Amino acid sequence: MILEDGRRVDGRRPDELRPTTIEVGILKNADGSALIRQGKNKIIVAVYGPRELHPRHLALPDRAIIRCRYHMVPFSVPERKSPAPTRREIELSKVIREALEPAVILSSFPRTTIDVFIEVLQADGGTRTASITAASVALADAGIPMRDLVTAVAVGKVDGTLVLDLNHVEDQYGDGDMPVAMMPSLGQITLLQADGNFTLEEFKRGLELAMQGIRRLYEIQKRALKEKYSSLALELRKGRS
Amino acid sequence: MPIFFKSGSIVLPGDVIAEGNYRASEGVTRTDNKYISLYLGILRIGKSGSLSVIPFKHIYVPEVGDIVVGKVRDVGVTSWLIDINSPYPAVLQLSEALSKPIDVTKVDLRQYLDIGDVIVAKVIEFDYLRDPMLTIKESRLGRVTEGLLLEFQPFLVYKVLESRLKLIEEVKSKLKCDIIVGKNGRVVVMGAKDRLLRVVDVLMMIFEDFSAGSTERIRKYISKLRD
Repeated sequence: MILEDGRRVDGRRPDELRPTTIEVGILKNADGSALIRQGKNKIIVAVYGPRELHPRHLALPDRAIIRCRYHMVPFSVPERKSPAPTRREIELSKVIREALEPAVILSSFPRTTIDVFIEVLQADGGTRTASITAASVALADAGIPMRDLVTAVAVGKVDGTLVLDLNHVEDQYGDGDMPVAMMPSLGQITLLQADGNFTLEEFKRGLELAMQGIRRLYEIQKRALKEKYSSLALELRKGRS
Repeated sequence: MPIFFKSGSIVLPGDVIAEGNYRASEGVTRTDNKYISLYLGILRIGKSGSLSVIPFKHIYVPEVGDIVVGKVRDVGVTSWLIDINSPYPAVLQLSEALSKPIDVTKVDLRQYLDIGDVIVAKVIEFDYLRDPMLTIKESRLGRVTEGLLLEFQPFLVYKVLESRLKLIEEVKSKLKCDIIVGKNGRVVVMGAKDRLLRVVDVLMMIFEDFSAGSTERIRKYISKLRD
């Protein structure tokens, strides 16, 4: 799947991300929201809270909990996907929640919940990592205190070459796939999965490649957040006299 | 010991604001020698080296002594449940609302406060383990019978309470009305009658215009007002 000139199926170089844009605050009703486009992926994230938790018995006396729902809409893939949560979606919801939890200062809001809703509108590989990237932006938009944003990207092995940010084809027919999420400023990893075969050397180089990608995505996240609020700050400054 | 941002610039969660010896105030945490922002907001550097970040979206958490504007959400047998624009709903006990005891088996609490009523109340107890308790048994507290309810971002209200209370006092005396600023971001205007639009206009300036020289400009505007 790697062409003779070293390009990938979609024309990218091995260490190149898909074109990525993030929009912040796209939903009025939600406390925080974000839309990410990463290649053909298109994912909306809405954050509600911190808010009262029902049923009450789930509440923790010393901190907030995060509830996360990752869901793919029926038209997000070529073959209709049943809207009911699948085993995969339930697992991804948990994995994404656990990737976000270390970043959020949960002890600020005991007994409450922070709800993260992720709707995948169009899927083309790497939706879990794109969801994490967008969800952390939406959390920041909601005014929730966080140690750092969380940024995620996958690396994989295709025809023996390590490649960054797999798309659907590379994910399906490649030899390995390793999603990584981290808090870039703090340099701490919050999610590390791998499937396929990696030698120790490949794993080390793959992780390094993922970190490079994460640093680039982190800049995109920061720019998206600042853009929304620099226009708000301008509005505040405009004055009315 | 460098500071990496200017006072007043926008910072994000995870941004390293400074390294060295400063004081981490609201919205800033210290790990090792680094000062890290917790919020998406505006950085403020105090004269004594205190670093704080004012979030763009402030989540109101009650504190004992706060004056808040609440809406009645539910009526219980001996208490009311009040929405105070916070993750924690507040409770108003019967004993904190009425001066003398009543027989709850005979009287419906709805005749005192019903769902949807707006009240001005004070937080008398909150420790995170239980929901905050309110009282309306003080002067200037109680049900709002007429007027207009405005909502602002709680962080704007903080800024106003910090530096612009005088302007509000001036508006009150100039336009002969009563304005109550709740810490939870809600503001009530009472007794303004036909001057209401003008009051709202000035309040929008006070709460939303924080550009350079705006305080002086608003003061001048207020001094020209006549009722």
